[in-house]
Amino acid sequence: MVNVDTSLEKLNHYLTKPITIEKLEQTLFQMGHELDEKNPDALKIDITADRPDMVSTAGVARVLNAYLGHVKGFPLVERKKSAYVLNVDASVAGVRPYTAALVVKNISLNQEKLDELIWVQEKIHATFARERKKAAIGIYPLKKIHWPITFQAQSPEKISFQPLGLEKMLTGRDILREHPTGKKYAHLLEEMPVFPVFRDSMGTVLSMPPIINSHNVGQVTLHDRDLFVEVSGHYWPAVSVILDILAYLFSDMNGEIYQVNVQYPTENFPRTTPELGKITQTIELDALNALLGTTLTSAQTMELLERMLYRVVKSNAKQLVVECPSFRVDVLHPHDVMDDVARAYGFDNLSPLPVNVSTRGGVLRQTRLNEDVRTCVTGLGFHEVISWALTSHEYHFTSFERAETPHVKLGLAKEQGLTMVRNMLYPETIRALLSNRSQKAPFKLFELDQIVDIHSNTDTGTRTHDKLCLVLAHASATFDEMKGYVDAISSFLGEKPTYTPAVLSGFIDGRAANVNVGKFHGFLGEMHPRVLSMIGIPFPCVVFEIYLSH
Amino acid sequence: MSDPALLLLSVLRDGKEHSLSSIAESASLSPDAVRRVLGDLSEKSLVVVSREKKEKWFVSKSGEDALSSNGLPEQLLCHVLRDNALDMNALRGHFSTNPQAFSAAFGLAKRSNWITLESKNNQTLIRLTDAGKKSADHSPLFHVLQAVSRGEDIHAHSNVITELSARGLIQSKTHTVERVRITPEGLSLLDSGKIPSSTAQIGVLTPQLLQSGSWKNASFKPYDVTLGVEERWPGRIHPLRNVMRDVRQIMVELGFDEMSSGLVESAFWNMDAMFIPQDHPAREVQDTFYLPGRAVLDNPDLVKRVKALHEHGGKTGSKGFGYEWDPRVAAQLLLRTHTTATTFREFALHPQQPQKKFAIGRIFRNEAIDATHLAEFHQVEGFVMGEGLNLRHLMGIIREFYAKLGFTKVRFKPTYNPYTEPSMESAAYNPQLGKWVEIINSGMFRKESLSPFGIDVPVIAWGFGLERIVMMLYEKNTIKEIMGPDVDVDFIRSYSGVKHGLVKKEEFSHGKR
Repeated sequence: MVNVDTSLEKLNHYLTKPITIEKLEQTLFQMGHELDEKNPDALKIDITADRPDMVSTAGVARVLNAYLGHVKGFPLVERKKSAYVLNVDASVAGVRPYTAALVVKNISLNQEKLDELIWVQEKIHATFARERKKAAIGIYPLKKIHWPITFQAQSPEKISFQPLGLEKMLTGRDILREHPTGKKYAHLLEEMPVFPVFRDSMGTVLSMPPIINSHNVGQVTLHDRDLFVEVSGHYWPAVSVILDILAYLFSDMNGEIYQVNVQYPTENFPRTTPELGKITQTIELDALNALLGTTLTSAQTMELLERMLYRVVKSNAKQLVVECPSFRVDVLHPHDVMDDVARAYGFDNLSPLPVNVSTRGGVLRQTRLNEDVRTCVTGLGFHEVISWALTSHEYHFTSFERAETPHVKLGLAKEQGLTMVRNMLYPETIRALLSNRSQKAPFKLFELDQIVDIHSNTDTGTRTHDKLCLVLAHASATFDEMKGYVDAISSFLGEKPTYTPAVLSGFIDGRAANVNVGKFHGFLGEMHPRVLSMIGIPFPCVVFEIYLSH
Repeated sequence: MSDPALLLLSVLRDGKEHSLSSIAESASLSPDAVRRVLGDLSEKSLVVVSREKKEKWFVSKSGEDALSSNGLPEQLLCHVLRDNALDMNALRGHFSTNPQAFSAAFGLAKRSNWITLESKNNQTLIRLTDAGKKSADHSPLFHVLQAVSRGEDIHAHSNVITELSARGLIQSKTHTVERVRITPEGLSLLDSGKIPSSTAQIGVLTPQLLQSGSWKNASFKPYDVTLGVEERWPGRIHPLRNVMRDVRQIMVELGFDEMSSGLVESAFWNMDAMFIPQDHPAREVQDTFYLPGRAVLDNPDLVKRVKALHEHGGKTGSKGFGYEWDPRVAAQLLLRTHTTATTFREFALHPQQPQKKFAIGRIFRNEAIDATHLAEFHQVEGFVMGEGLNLRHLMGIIREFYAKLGFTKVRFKPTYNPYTEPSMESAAYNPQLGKWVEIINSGMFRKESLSPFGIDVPVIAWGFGLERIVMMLYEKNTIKEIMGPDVDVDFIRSYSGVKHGLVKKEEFSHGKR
């Protein structure tokens, strides 16, 4: 979800007919978005992540105007011819290979428009442009620029300008070290031998994308009527789509859009931008009705599509050919268009149907075993806890005096202290004992859940196993009491257990055993007082743990 | 007088007060038996039993919040205002994560004259008073709260305790402590050794009494049937497990077969196979636990088909994502982020229709853990594969599922999921809470996600998290009271085990019997 903060007044400014809060809430819901904050002066609209075209007040209004039937299909943006040239130097090839640009005139910025522009820039950077990794937007007052502009890559020491927000000239390298925005996005450039830069024909730096604009030529103010806008990035479709989104936004703000001729060094890649590209899809009516369970006609479908910003370019009784702007990045397949038909039709108008797919139904054999064991163990008076599968080395091994056994290590974890996936249950079960030690004894806790072992013969190199662990803790807890429970569980499983004396680290010598119950292997032991006192358990504690799968 | 009575009197001989449990231990009797005998002795004035209700205080969830942020909300408010007066919005901004706490703190600060409000240029400026400055540092409430969390004796602060409790910062559990002392009569009886015979009345029925038949000439001493006894706990499964059992049963009743897969996955099975683009934000390290090492992509034909789908849409009529699909990204190891990975492994094993399957399992998200964020959750997921299924069937099966949980009013809303289209959220009206609760997310799998497995019939699917259901069912505000190491074992020992479904269903009428 991406939020758009706006007000009812601002929204109504773009709408053909004013809307009420109630109607807005209902309409957004039907379309699959949400009105999160209903205060008319501080609306918060939540947009699903697939719609970068809607991250502005104008964008939301564009969609509402069509949905409510005020306009049909998407608005046409006029692109005026111009002599503006943006030269792309071959040096950007490995650094930031693509750029697209436009000029907008007579936009008459006021505070509201400027705020909206900055909002859109930030939201697109944060979402669709993946924190400027995929693409970044730069906006400049037109009047300070001497054409043509060159997009090139230079050694960072050769780039020197006063960045927005600082009072001094800095080199490209120093901006990454000293400027707040430079520091934040340094990781996007610092490994590169050369940095990308936009310069005008006087050699003046406009900006160093995707980091920062120049203070002198890259600062947009309320007095600006005409703007130069560029998008640069690594992936042409994204660059082009973002510029198209901005073109529609400026058009909604009543600006005039002028093309920029982007001259690439390779012959087969000259571009006139904004491309204002279209996506074309063919919708088979039979397939549509089969997907939605409807009986829509071609004419009805056409009306519904127009309410979702599509233009129908051809239609007959069996199919419709439709177009939508390039910014509908979510439209990959005819089903994506059909989904929009359903949104326009209204999910409320679709009645649920019973599913008549006849199957038997049943649980896994492992589930049945686990549930049977739970029945037995709860019958013995144990209480189940569910602990975390993620833990730390220090706790899982060191605190229990266990030698490290093969286990799954975690990469970077946000939660400090999580370093691995458990390969035993009992240390984690005992955490619950620790936080409850002031409650009334006896403690008879069990856990029946999954652990992960290293296993070389699977595609993930691991195997997930089900295990059972019993923890007995009270003033007179002994090996023998636990052994009684293990005997009971074994006989419940129809097996005769075998006990073999074992030396298990963390347990008292001579009071620990390996246990086999049928095909399952486990162990039983009295915990060593050294371990108990180290982790802080004030009474004897006996542990039994066994695999329930193999 | 029977032997146990004599035994207890001799335990009490020192004339001091003894707790019931220590008497039981010294006499090697069960606490219940001790309680009965003591009842008898105290009736004869041989001992005095005093009962004292003891309250033990615990820090509540909101109390823990205050402790972890190092101050009560009103202290934080004063703290924010210490250097500068602020306008309302700026002040509220400091409490954006907890708007309720702001309103409460603001009201309190105003009533206590810790802040003043002045209007200036259409703005309301809030300024800290001297009294406010003091209270930011010294809050008796906060000190006692800390004392409670350290388990210290807080007897002396009864006023503060009342206030903390009224504000929901602490909670209490009451238990009764019984203390027993021998009376001079009891002592002299013990010393004289004159034990009056009590053949007339039987205390505890014993096998000896039965064998000898002497009960025939005796009467039974009546018990005080209202007397408290020792707590007993049945062995219990975890409340989440209870909900899992219910959900599993519903699934099987609806004809679904269970499936499962491992906790460690490759990105291929967790994301690529279901057509999640390789640069999707959900794949970022911030959301997913990645593991060192690489998975083996052991089905080359399938990998080839998935690659084609991502790059240009294969033969599905899709455009694909237009990038070059990278097998190294797909071979990354991770902890599965959804049970949809299980569904897709199942597709590879069993692509034939018709099928109805479900999985219940643990999933992982790379989150910093606090009161509202966990790194581990449990998810349920089901799918139906079959000729002629459409969006309305998806609505049908979801409505059926809600009905089994006890909800009859259901509404649907379109949404976006990367691997389903159409995608649908659904909410059910909970009459007990008086509001709509969003539970199930669902959709029809994209053609691009089914085609590599050779599945050419529709597959409808839905899923939801179990923790929220558990919280609603057991009226818990925070899942950490139940899940993980902070669990309250007393709750596991004593939670109501007959709650099934989320809404009280109408009782079936059995007619006259």
